[in-house]
Amino acid sequence: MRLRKKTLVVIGVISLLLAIGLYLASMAILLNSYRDLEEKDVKENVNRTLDALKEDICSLSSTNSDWSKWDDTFNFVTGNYNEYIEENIDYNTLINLDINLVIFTNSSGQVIFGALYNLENEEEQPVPQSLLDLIYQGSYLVNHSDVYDAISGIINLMEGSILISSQPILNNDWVLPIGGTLIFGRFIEALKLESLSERVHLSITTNNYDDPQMASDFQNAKSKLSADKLIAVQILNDKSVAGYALIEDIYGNPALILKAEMPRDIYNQGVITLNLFIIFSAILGIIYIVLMIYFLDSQILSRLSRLSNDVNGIIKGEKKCAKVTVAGNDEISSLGIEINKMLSSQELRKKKLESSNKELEQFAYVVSHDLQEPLRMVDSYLSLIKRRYEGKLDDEADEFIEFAADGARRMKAMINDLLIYSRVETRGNSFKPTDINAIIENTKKNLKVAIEEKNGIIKSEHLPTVMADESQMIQLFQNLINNAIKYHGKEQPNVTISAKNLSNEWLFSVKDNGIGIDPKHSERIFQIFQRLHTREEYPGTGIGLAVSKKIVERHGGRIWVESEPGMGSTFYFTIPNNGGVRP
Amino acid sequence: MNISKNGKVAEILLVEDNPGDVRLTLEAFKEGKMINNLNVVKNGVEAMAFLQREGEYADAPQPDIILLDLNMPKMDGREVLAEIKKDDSLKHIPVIVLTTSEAEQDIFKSYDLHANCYITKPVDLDQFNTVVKSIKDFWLGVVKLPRSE
Repeated sequence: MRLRKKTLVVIGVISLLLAIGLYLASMAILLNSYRDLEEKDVKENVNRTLDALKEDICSLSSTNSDWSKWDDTFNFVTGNYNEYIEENIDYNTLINLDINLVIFTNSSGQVIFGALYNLENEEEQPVPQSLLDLIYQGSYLVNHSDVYDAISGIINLMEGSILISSQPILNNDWVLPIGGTLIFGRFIEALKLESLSERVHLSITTNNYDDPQMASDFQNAKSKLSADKLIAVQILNDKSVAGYALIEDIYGNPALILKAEMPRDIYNQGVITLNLFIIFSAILGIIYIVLMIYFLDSQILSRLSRLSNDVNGIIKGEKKCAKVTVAGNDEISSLGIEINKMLSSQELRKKKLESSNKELEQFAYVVSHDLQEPLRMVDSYLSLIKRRYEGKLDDEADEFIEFAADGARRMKAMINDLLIYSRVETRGNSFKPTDINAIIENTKKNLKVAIEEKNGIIKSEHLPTVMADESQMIQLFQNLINNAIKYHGKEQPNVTISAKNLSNEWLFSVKDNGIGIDPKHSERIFQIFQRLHTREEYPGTGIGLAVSKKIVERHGGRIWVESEPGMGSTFYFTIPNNGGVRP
Repeated sequence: MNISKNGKVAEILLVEDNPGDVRLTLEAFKEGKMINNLNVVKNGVEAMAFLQREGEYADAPQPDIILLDLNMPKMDGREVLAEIKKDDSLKHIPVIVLTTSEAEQDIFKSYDLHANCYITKPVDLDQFNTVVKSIKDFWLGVVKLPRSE
């Protein structure tokens, strides 16, 4: 189950990160490209507007050309045709020509006639002085030397900006001398901008380059514009964007900033597309995650958890058949097959172990019956001989009989010990909660004679209750306490029994003040029939510690000794909290 | 010399393959004062022949008690016990299982086959003598046995 949760978390986190990454990347890449596209579109539109403006200037020039290369005009400026103005120039003429300013000068640059018509209120006004100031002999506006000379462009006046065209006045045949200069002009006012806007389908406004009170967006644009960069794009808000163009006057100085405003169709369409893309990706992502989780769960996780449950069941012994379920043909099923192989080899080993245990039982049976039978014969007939012939043969015979009888007695003791040793495993009882304090009391009662004889002191702190075989615990403590008293030193025997709770087992210790053991023998003393002393020094067959070791091992614990000769010994052993692996 | 209470010499059948054990039992029986006749056979087949008076045992008396060892060649004590307790003419005879075995399954099996008692031979000679004496005292002294023909 933990693996399943982990997998879900990992998939969830990765998907979320991917979604965020995708969102940010598409924002950065797509929106930037939409912005670039928008800027390009705005620039194109500004160029289109500028082209329209240039067209206006061109048409002004060509109108000027029609009028200035005409005998009537030539005659008028050279003083030979005084009715010219009355006959040719009136308000309607100018309306038709889409101009509202006209100035005639002679070849000396003197203004012969000038007129300005306001197209909005249809009134004639004087020609602005600021324009007249630009017209004098030799000034740029009227200084024509060649028949093809022509000046056209924009001039900033105090009254506003004006489209202007200035050309030399010649006769119909375009030959010198130059009679004077004809200037046509058209103020760029609301009406003019309106018609321009209509032609390019954009909202067009202009602002004088030197206007100190221009709007803030114009000011921003002005700071971006220069002779090298004639067009700038600024986003006004979410809905509209504007392109700005710097327009120079006929002298090459910055004169006007033209602004073409348009809705942000491209960008907004891009945002909608992007949002749709994100939503679609999210839906796909969710479908992907659900499918992925379903697949992982059905193909891997649930199978793994079933495998783990099976193995758990087998370990706990709940599952009768020691096999895991194998389905499919992939790594997991081959893992199942491997586990089954392992289980069956373990089963085989278990059976072998069981059969070797049975053999041990058989061995115990053989020892108890068949080996004891001849021994009984030896012992019984030795006793009979002793009873009937003791003192009737010579002294040597009596001595020999005694040796033989002693040998038989020892053999009997060893066979008994061997039986006790083999019965630790084969005749053990099941583990029950066992109060070790009661065990110690029992042991003291059993050893009462030996303890009183040696004047021994047995002390124990409060000891725990553990899962154990009660009679084997008595046997164990009896062996250890008996040894502690038997191998006493010069002082009276003093035995202390204590216990310490380790994380998952109890550590017991039996400490004495006896003769101690050389550490080099600390392994040997736990082997069967191994003795460190002669029978004359200390009686016994050497089975006690071997049986003790077997009992501790049956409970899943360990036993060892820490000692120095003459310094007493401490025997340690552990009993697991659950009482070992076997019930 | 005493005879058994019903005025006859008590007939005892000892079924035992080990001559050493036979001799020990004989010696132990000798120590008491009661007159009895100890008949010895060496295995189960001989025991059944003796009881059914076949062959060389045609004139054999019917024993008052049977002392039966369990582990014997040819036909072991368990089979003999089963045969005796199946036979209507023999099943009234008390069978005392006298063996070296201390095994639980032997004890259970013997009583299951209606053995009258189960005794493990002590290893020590003095104890063995005591056991034999108590068998005699109990089965030939205390206990009332059915009258044999």
